[in-house]
This record gives sequence, C-alpha cells and structure tokens, in this order.
Amino acid sequence: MLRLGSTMLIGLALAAWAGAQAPPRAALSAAEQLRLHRANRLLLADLVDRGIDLGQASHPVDRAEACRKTARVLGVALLQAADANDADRVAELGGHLEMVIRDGLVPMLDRAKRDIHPQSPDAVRLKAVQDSAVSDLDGATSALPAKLAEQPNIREVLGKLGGLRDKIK
Amino acid sequence: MCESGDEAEWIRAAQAGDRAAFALLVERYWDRLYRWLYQLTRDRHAAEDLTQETFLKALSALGSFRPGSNFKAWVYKIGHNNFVNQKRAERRTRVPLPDDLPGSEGIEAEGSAESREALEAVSRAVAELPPDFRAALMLRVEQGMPFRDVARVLKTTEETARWRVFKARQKLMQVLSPEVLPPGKSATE
Amino acid sequence: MNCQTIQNRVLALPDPRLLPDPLREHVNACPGCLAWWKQAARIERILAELPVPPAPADKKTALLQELSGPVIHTVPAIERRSFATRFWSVPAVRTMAGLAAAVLFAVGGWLMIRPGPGSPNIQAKPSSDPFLERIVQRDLALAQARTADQRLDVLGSLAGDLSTEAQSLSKIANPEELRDLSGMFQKVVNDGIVEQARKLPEHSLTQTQKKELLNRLSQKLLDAGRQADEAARESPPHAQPALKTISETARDGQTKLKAILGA
Repeated sequence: MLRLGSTMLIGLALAAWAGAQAPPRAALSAAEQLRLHRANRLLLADLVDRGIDLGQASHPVDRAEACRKTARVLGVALLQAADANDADRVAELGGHLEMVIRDGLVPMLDRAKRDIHPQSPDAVRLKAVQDSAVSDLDGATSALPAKLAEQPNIREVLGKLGGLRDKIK
Repeated sequence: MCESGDEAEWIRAAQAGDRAAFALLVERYWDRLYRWLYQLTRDRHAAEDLTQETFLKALSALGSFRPGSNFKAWVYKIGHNNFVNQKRAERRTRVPLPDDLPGSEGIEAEGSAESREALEAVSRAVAELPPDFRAALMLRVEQGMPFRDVARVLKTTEETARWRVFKARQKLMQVLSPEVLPPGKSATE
Repeated sequence: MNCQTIQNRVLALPDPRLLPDPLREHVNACPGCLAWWKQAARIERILAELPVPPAPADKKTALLQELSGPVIHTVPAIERRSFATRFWSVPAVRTMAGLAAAVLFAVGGWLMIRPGPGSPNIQAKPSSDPFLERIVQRDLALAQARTADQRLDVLGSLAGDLSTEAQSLSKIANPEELRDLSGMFQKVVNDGIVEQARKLPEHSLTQTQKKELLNRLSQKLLDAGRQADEAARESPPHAQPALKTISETARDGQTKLKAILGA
C-alpha cells in the first residue's frame, strides 16, 4: 500500500514538475519579456509569498487555507485585468485560477475533510476555508463585465470555474 | 448576572466543548475586533479575513486560555499576531480589490456631531500614523482598553504602550491643527 | 509648569477630555492652552466615533451559523486509520490506483519530451507570460506535495526560477525591478528553503535521504549563485547589486544547509 501510494505521489510530482518546464525565453523578445514582467510584477511577488506559505504549512487546514489564498491572489489579479478591459489577460489568469482550484484546492479540501474529525475545531476552520474560497471565486467571476464574460475564451474559463464551485463546497 | 459573570460562564462552557457558548463570545467581540483590525489594515477585506482567522485560532487555542484572565485582551493579542504575520508575509504595495479604492469606503457621518469632511480628515491622519502608534491609540481611545491591556495585546510594557498613545496623539495634534480640521456640524464644544 | 509640559501631560492621560484638577486649573486660566485642549478633546472624540466600512463578506454570520447549527457532516466519525486501511485493502482500488499511477507517469513523461516552442503545435498567446505560468505551477506543486522534503525540492526549483528570471532581465529591467526579484529569491532561500530544512521532522527521512536532499538543494543554490556571478560580469552597473544579492544569498544558504546537515 505504501509503495502504491509512493508511486502515485511520485507520478503527481513528476507531472507537476514537468508541467512547470515552461517554453524557454527565446520565444519572447526582450521587450515583450520586460512588458510581461512589469504587468505581473506584483502578482508574481504575491505568488512567491504564497508559495513560501505553502512550503511552511503542514496541517491540512493550514495548507488548504494557504492554497485558498493562492487562488485569491489570482482572483484579485483577474478582477484588475477585467477593470482594465484586458480580455487576453482575464483569460490567462482565469486559466491559472482554474488550474489552482481544480488541481490544488479541491483535492486539498477533499483530503482535509477525510482526515479531520467532523466535530473538532479544525472542522470549523475547514468550513470557513471552504466558505471563503467560494466567496472569493464568486467575487472574481460575478464582477466581470458582461461584454468580457461573453467572449468565447473567457466564457469557457468561467464555465469551468462555475463547475468547480460545487466541488469546493 | 453582570457582564463579566456571563462571559466567565461562556468561556468555561466553550472550554468544555460547547460551541454555542463560543458563538456568544464571537457575537460579543467580532464587530469591535473588526473595527480595530480595519484601522490597522485599512482594508475591509483583510480586516474581515483577519477577524475570522483570529476567532478560529482562538477556538483552537481555547484550552490554553487561563480562566479569570482577560479574554478580550487575549483575543485581541491573537488578532494582532495575525496582523503582524500577515504584514510580514504580504507585500505592502499590493493593490487592494477594486471596491476598496480611496473614496469608496462608505464613510458616513450619521449620528455624529462632526461633518463627513472632519471624519475623513481624522481617518486619513490616523491611517498615516506608524502602525505601532495607530494600534495602541485605537485600542486605548476607540476600544477603551486600559494601558495595561493595550500593553498585553501588543506584547510590550505598559510604559511603552502609554508612550505610543502619547506620540500618536501628539502627531495628530500636529497634523490636524484647527486650520486643517474642518469645523463640526454643530458649533457646540 | 509651562504650557508645553501641561499639554504633554494632557496627551499622556488615559482620556484627554477628562482633566484632573491641577491640569484643569491651568487650562481654564490659560487661553492658549484652553484652545489647544478643545482641539485635543475634539480629536479624541472623533477618534472614538470614527466610522469604518462594513465587512464585505459577512463571515461573522457564516461562523456563527457554523458554531450554532447542527453538525451536518453525514460521514460517520470513523477512526481514520481504519478507514484508510480498509480503503486500500480492496483489490479493485489498488488496481485502479496502479493504473492511475501509470497514467501519471505517461503524462509526466510525455510532458517532458513534448516538442519545444518551435513546433507548429505550440502557439504562444501574445500576452501570456511563461514565467508567470511557471510560478503558478510551482505553487501548485507545493500544494500537491505531501511531505516536507517534497516541498523543499519544489522551493529549490522556485529559487532557481527566480534567479534565472533576474539574470534574463538583468540587461533590460530597472534596478528596482531587479531588486524585487532578488528580494523574492532571498525570501525563498531564507524563509523557505533554510527554515524548512531546519524544521525537517526527525523521523521523516533517514540520514542518507536527508543528506541527499540537502546536497541537492545546495547544488541548486550553488548553480544559482554561479549563474548570478556570470550574469553580473556581463550586466550593466545598475544590475550588479541585485545579482550580487542573489549570489551572496545562494552562498549563505549553502553554508546554512551544510550546518544543518552537520548538526
């Protein structure tokens, strides 16, 4: 059982590591690279901070909360992109948000629910994490202007995010 | 039964596992704690998150609370720790959510003898205070905490707590001179 | 007592509006101090009634409902170890888990060997940021990592990403932007890697595994430091401080990891 569990974990880690091997820099001009870095500077700093939190947290509820905050950071950036009427950026960030919720937050919440006694203080904390995650997601998606939300790439992402809402609860 | 007697009973029950008793403590202190944390963060989303986090931590740590000691100061201390930890972890230059942009905080002057402009002027001046001064000042003035409890919450000495409140008031007096602070709604003083 | 002394004493009171007799006598007799005191009292009054905006998400109500309502979880309170044991003992579950692991390996392998960006199948969107995507992936990997050592490995990679990005931008970004990147690198190394290496649970790894892990992390830091040094040699002067910070942080991190290993 231990070997099987380890095998799955190694597979997961491998898939996650491989997925992180983004296309090399040569695809972008220096000007484009700098432009993107400037556009994402604050978001990157927030994501690095959230990464450190995820690295530090060991308790299932703390880890779920750290992952929720990662998703929230992306949600805030998505709203800012919507305010700026940047459809491409909204779609890009929506895609990242979907991935973090689908592959990170939902499995973490499921795992935490299995591991935690339903009447413990941790169960209360976990419920609060779930409620906050749903509230964050609703805040990010419902505030999009209709014109943006109707664009095909954004509508697709919103559909996927909508489907994840019930899984968070 | 006096208020402190009720509270002692709620704490005892909550420590014995009665969640409804803990709910009474939440009901008593949530709004006040939120107000104070808002003054520290100047962000209602962050203040609400911190308030929630504080009560959840308090619930988990109830066993460590010594019956008979100051529950309010204990909860506020947890809140302040959370705030400090969050400040350490998060970038201060992060742009707030759109509905927290300046001017949209919904400051109302209903029920106050002061004009909206005066309230906003003081609010801005408070926001400009160094966080340690601001925290101490609002605990003393707005939350009505004795200096001894302010010191407990901020994990410092009573002397330092008094000094911070003094310096905060001194700064506000400099910044909010009569020429700067708009007149109140009524002329009575 | 002069007026300044009186005013300082008033500001040091628990409530400046409530003057003890000695101070009140002076204030009533001194027009300057009286005007000053009225201002102080007014500010104190305003402070006590400063409005705050309402909380946005009504988390108070949600928490109160959770505390006061019935427990709605329908899963019986089964002791979790026995549930896990029962779950994994079912042959069909083990088979499916094995198949899932095989699929994961296949996917992971495909992702590793898939064609690079020159391939006509991969079209980068004009505004999507590969570095942002990489950092999101690292966060996701940290979320998915189950053990402290797995998280440490990801943090090591995250540090490498930040160092590479700083080098990549060293000729074109401004000093503040590069300082931000070096600051992020410092945080990941100090608050992430070194701190978590210190806190590795005793029983989680054998001494050999721990040594391998810390050596692996040291190597990543060594590489990051060397690359930062090389980039510094070819970068304009304004980029030097940030690259030097990365290089020094990497070396310092290595030293600390060695000390942890030796402890």
